[in-house]
Amino acid sequence: MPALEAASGPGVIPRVPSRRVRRLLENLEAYAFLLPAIVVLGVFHLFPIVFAFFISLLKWNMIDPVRPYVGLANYVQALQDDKFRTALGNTTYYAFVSVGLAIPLALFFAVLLNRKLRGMSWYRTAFFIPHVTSLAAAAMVWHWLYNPDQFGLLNYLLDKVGIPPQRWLLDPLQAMPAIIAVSIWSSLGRDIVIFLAGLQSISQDYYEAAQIDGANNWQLFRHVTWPLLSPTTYFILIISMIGAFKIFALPLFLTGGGPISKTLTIVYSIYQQGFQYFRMGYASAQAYTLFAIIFLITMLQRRVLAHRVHYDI
Amino acid sequence: MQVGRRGFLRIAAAVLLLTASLILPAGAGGPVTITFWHGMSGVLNPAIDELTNDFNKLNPGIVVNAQYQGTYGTLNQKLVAAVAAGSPPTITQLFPNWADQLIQAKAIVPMENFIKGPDGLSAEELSDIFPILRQESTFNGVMWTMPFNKSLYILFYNEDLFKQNNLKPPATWDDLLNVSKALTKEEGGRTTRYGFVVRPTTDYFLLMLITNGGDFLKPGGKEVAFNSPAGVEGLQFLIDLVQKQKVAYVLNAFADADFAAGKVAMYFVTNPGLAFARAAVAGRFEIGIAPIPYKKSRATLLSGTDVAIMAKAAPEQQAAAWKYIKFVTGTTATTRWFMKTFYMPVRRSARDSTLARVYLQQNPEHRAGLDSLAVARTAPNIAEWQEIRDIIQEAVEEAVLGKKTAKQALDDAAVKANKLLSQRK
Repeated sequence: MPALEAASGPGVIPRVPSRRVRRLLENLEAYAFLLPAIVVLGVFHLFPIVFAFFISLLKWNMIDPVRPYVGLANYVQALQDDKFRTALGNTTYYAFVSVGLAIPLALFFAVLLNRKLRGMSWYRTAFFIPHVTSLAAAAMVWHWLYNPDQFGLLNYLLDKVGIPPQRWLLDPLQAMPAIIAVSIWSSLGRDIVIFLAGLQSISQDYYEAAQIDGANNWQLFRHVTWPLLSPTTYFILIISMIGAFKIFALPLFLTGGGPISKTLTIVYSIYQQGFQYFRMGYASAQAYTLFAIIFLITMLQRRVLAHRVHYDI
Repeated sequence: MQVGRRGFLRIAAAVLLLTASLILPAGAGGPVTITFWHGMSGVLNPAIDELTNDFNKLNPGIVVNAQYQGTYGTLNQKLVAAVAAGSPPTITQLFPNWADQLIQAKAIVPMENFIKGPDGLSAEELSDIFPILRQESTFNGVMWTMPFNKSLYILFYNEDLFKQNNLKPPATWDDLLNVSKALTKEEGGRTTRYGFVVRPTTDYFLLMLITNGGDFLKPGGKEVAFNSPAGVEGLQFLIDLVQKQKVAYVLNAFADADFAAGKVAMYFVTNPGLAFARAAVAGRFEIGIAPIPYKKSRATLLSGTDVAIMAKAAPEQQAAAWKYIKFVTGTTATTRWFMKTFYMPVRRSARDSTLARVYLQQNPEHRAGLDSLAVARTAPNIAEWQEIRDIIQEAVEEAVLGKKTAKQALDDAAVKANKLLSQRK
């Protein structure tokens, strides 16, 4: 580099930085741009995750200066705790039923909405609106709909058909299905949009080829749509399952975990232990247990489903 | 940028001035500012603001900021978080069992320090505060908090309905049953009005427990006593009202709406519920108030909150806080608080004052509540009681829903509660 050679010599202070320094400055610039994101993610995501693990090994009520180290005692207690086991059962029930119903339903509607009919964008909007509605506001309205008196809208409609008023959110057997219904109503839009994207990425050539071979609608779906949709289906199954295990807002707004803990979910239990009874260590242990469960289930899904996914070349 | 010697001195001077103005205590001239966290919502909020403004006017050297923090549950969470973060308010409203946790964490200052201090209360002034209220504020023989807005459970009844049917408000459990039978009305196969309502809550059960001679904890405080035969009988009585005699129904909500709509003739509630009931009834009928019906012993459950001074506050802030607390629990203020919010006056002199007596003459329905103060009982003021309440709540729900027998539900709850108590330090 001529400039560098000419500039160096006795009595001359080099003004042009060396290649190494320049590279370092470029990297620093990059890090500077990354810094805000790194700080936010580090402070609000990474640090709490790591810190929570340490808390889970203590017995701590947040303001007590005494915080004894108890090792894995919190985890053992969680696995033996009746209430936590109930929460586990409830959450598993919720996850499998809600995902098991929501995915086929979303697929069904997505296929219907994939036509080029007039006003189709209105129909799609109608399905998507629940997803963008504030869950708290929607829950308030659903709470009113589910009113156990004859004044609740649902009971009013049932009365017209001659069915006696139901207790809905207050009935130990109906409460969780009621919550599942609201959850499906809320998430259907998002699932439909994802399926639509997947459907529209399937090349028309496949359909035309199949139709030339004389395939009917069902065979088109079974042999063209379904296999080529499999990456999307796989994706939705995984994220829906993960999200379902974290359900909290709906039981919080609709039932308070009741009646008799029938809608107590794992995250609700964590919230209760951490922020109502101030047992930070125990709550953190439950949180890490949930993490382990979701991790296991996701790995299981991968093992079972991944090889059935056809990626379009 | 070249900063010469003069420039440097100028910058240093500016920084010093800025720092000094920030660090110098406000006490050096300005008023002492303190914060008061509370959970008074609805109509209670302006009442507390009024009290606070009056105090601020009377004490120009002190500024009290009363800050609403949300429901009691939210207030508790914010309080604990603030203590953990090291920035709590000066004064906080709190339930006695929250105080237990804060005492263990050394987060509050014993009220006794101020009561016995130079600006404190004389022995007469102290004993003027109802003994049962002082008892709930006392932990291990030391008075840590000050009763502020206390209430107790009473029975609301539809006075017009009672007069129409020539009935008197029930005094005993048997009366409750008979009156409920008389007032339950059926039309076309459906019950359009019930005599009583059973809210499957801890308090409904505890009321039956204590009016049947039962107790919360066994002597010694290491085991619970709510699953005694008295407790089982009480819970069974409530269940029978619904299932066997069919003169009551189960409601998982506040009862004032149904009461106002004429769906139910009586219900248990605490004094401040009168404001809500009156708003719902909107003058359609007179609301009568009676003591809780008893079987073995007249009793009612004390409820409501105290106030406490946080330890992190500076000495002059704590002194100012004590002045404020002395004011709002003084005879005049507590009388006005009672007349405005229907919470109990905390002092005997307030109850017997001319102002109160005139008010009671015009509003005699409040006498039942005031008289019940003599038989009020306090639940244990231990930190574990919050969770034990939830355990009892679930047991009551299970029994009322018929999932377990009353005895089974209470015994299972007792096992869980005793386990909690055994972990108590």
